[in-house]
Amino acid sequence: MPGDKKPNQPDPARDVLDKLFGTTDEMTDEDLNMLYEAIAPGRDATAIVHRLAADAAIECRLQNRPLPDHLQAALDATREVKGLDNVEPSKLRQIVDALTAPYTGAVKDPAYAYRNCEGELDTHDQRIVDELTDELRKEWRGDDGEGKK
Amino acid sequence: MNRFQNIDWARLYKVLRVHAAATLRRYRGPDTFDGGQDCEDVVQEVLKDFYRSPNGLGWKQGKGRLETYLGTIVHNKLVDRLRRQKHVSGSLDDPDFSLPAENSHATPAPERAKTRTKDALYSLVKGEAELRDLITAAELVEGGPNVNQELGEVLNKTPRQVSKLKERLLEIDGVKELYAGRQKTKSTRPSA
Repeated sequence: MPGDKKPNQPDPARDVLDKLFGTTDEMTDEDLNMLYEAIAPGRDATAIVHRLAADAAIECRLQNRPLPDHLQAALDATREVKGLDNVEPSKLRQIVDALTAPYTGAVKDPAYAYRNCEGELDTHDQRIVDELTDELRKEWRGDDGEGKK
Repeated sequence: MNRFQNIDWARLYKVLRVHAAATLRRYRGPDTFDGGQDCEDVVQEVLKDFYRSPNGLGWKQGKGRLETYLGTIVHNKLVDRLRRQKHVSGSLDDPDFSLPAENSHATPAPERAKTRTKDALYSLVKGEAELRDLITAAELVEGGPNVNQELGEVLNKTPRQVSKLKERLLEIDGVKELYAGRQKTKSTRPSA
């Protein structure tokens, strides 16, 4: 049975790469995505899963079999979203989360780089951020009313 | 709602794909086998079998995580393909297994493979001191779920800095191939 581990069957030796990245069942999402992109660059996992599920669904329909729950779930979860009508709330939540997640890459304006600051913001940093916030607020309010709070 | 609705299928695929690459590396299998199939084909075959199967190849929540369950099937299929290919003789799970051409070595094969991977990594990073330190630190940790934190403690860096270092390591020519157990120049499939 796949889930069972035979006591006399040794694990394949963990090498330095396993220790560095962890094995797949203990890997962080960040490391998993990094490794996946490294070994399968440009391969859209969602699209691949959808294609596999769609192929399996065709076979089921040709055999007049109902789609198993897991197949239906995979098809639903990986369907390409072409409009927001009839989209499940969980999918909408994913989209909103993706749009509102903080940007952690390099920024052109150092004023916005505090998010990437390794240590705590000290009072000096905080003062700069506050000044920039005030400046932005003034410009925002002066902007013909559209951006007024 | 059924038990499959919370599964992140894209993540599952990525886990299986990375798992397959690591398995191939550990057994030092060829890039392709069975007339041009590679480990990606094996992963897709397993996932498709799972979707086709009315009972999901017998997986139940009580049997552990789906990615572990399917990961074991991927592992067994890969080992089976490698055996069929006769690239190694005897049991691949045997700690004393070795490639036929290397039977004369005194050190057990997994130990040789570990040393080879480590040496190859060191030679690829060459003069990059930070990356050399990262590899050395990796030898000192267990590599569990908090590996970035563990490495960070050894290297005196934050987990995010460790993650960036790993990203740098993967960008070095040859490291990705080493992870995936591939030859540096990817072999092409014979045309049908």
